[in-house]
Amino acid sequence: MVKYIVKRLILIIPIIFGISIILFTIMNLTPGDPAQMLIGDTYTEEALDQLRAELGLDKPFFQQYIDYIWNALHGDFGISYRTRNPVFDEVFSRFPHTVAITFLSIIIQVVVGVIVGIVAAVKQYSLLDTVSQAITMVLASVPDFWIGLMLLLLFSVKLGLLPLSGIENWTGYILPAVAVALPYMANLIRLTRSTMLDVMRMDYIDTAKAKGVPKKKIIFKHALKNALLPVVTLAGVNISWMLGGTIVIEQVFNIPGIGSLMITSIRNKDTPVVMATVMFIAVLSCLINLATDLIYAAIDPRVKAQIKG
Amino acid sequence: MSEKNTVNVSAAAPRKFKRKSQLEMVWIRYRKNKLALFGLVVFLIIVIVSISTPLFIDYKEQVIKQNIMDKFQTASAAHPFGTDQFGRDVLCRLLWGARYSILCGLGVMALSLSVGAVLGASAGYFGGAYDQIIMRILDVFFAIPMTLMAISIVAAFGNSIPNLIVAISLGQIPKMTRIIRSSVITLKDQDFIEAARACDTKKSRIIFKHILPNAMGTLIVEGTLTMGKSIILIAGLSFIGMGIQPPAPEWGAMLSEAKNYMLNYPYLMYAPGIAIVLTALSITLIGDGLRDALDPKMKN
Repeated sequence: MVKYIVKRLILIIPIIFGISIILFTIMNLTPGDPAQMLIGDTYTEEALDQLRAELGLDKPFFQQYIDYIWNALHGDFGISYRTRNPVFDEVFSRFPHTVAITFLSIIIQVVVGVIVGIVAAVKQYSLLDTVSQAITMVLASVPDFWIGLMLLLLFSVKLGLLPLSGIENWTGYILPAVAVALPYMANLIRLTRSTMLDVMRMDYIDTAKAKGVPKKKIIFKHALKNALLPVVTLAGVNISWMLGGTIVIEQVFNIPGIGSLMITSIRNKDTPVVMATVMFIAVLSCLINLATDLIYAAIDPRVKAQIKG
Repeated sequence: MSEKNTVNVSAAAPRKFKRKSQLEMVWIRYRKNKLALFGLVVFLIIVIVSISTPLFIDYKEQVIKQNIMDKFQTASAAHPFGTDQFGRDVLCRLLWGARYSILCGLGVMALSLSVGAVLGASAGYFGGAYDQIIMRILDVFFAIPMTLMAISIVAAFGNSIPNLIVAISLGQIPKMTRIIRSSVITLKDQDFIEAARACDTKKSRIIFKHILPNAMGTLIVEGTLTMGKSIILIAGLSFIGMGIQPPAPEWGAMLSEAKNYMLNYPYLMYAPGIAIVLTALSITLIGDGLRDALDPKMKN
């Protein structure tokens, strides 16, 4: 088990290196000179050169990259070109908002998705099944930012129940979380329903029925446990997607999360912030994938045997 | 339909039944699915609209020309969907907007499918170090969130339509390659490939003539689903100002402008959103229908 985890953790390292090379190259190709953007309209050539030297921008591209990696390996991710604050402070002041939305959203989608999926499967071809099928089909094709706009119109503009924009207290997270959750939820409902239907056709369910096990017990004890396996994987994938995918929704609700930080940083050619944020998200999603696999192993003895072996 | 077929086989013209091509069989199974048929009809209408708009709409006069006098009109005979903040007809802009979505969607599908097919098929077929290198490089791209990747590429190279297509395809290629690679791996050990190899067929011919056509079902289904997703993604990018720029009437860009007038003129936000949903939904329905129609298990 420990060996497996260590092996997976080691595999993250080349991925992070790869990401750093790709991003550093792309950011280097972005037009504009960060020093010039930073210094403003009135400046002398010497001051500009001095600032460039200070930020390390006067060195050749390859040297800049080596320096960056060397410092990063020592825990120094540099300072933001835009605000001149340490990159770590920039990223961690924004991150809680994105995490809050992601986790609120994953709770909503898993709870609603699994319940609706089970009911739809157990009562297959009922009215509820048909309606939920139709709704999930549409939801999967709706852009989350448009759902967000429509929710804003309904709950904030028309009904005045929730804040229109920004984060003053926790109620500000509700609408963005729901907007992000709905398209993902559609997939979770579909997956839960179809795996549940598959599992219900298995021989051991027939055996349980023949033994006279009550229906509720069959559903929750025998079927659900097996049907949840793919759902766990999908939920894990969804979390890592949402961490990097709330960019557009943050713009709708004016939330100062990772997404808005990324957009301002990319526009201002703030390479250190962009690099640190993306690498941070990538490490986090690798860890979440690992956690998903471990949870999977904990639920399914067949997988556990594979990991141990 | 199945009854009709059996009649054909047993009585009148058994040969006619045999001659039904693969494509015909797929179509027969596809059209049984009413939702998929509905999706196809809607999609075809959108495609026809997007091709024919220049014939009856003048871009300079009707789509981007500002008539401040007419601003914020509600629905009327002259402007069925009303006018926006610059007095431009919403319906004209909406119809013109279909061009961007369809063009970008098709572009992303074509690019990610062809690159994914070549990379995935070769990696799966040759295996070994080549496979390892390709897949490890793609792992890196896979770990970068799709939207972030697209935004940084657009920022670096500018937001023209070809750049947008490349930016979004880059996010889709790793997934596409993996899917194609795994279906090639299951195919390559089958007897007919063995036979082709025994005949000393060229490797490229084996891949393109024998393996890829057999993986075509998966390819087409994944391609359609990718197209649906990328249309939503492009609208999202344009909405945050990193995609197609106003005054071009891309649906996401229209929503982005409309958001500023949300409090007083919310009607501006309905039509572009519904247009995106309809387009994406029709493509998803087609993809689902194709998946069932191409699945050999569903054969009668």
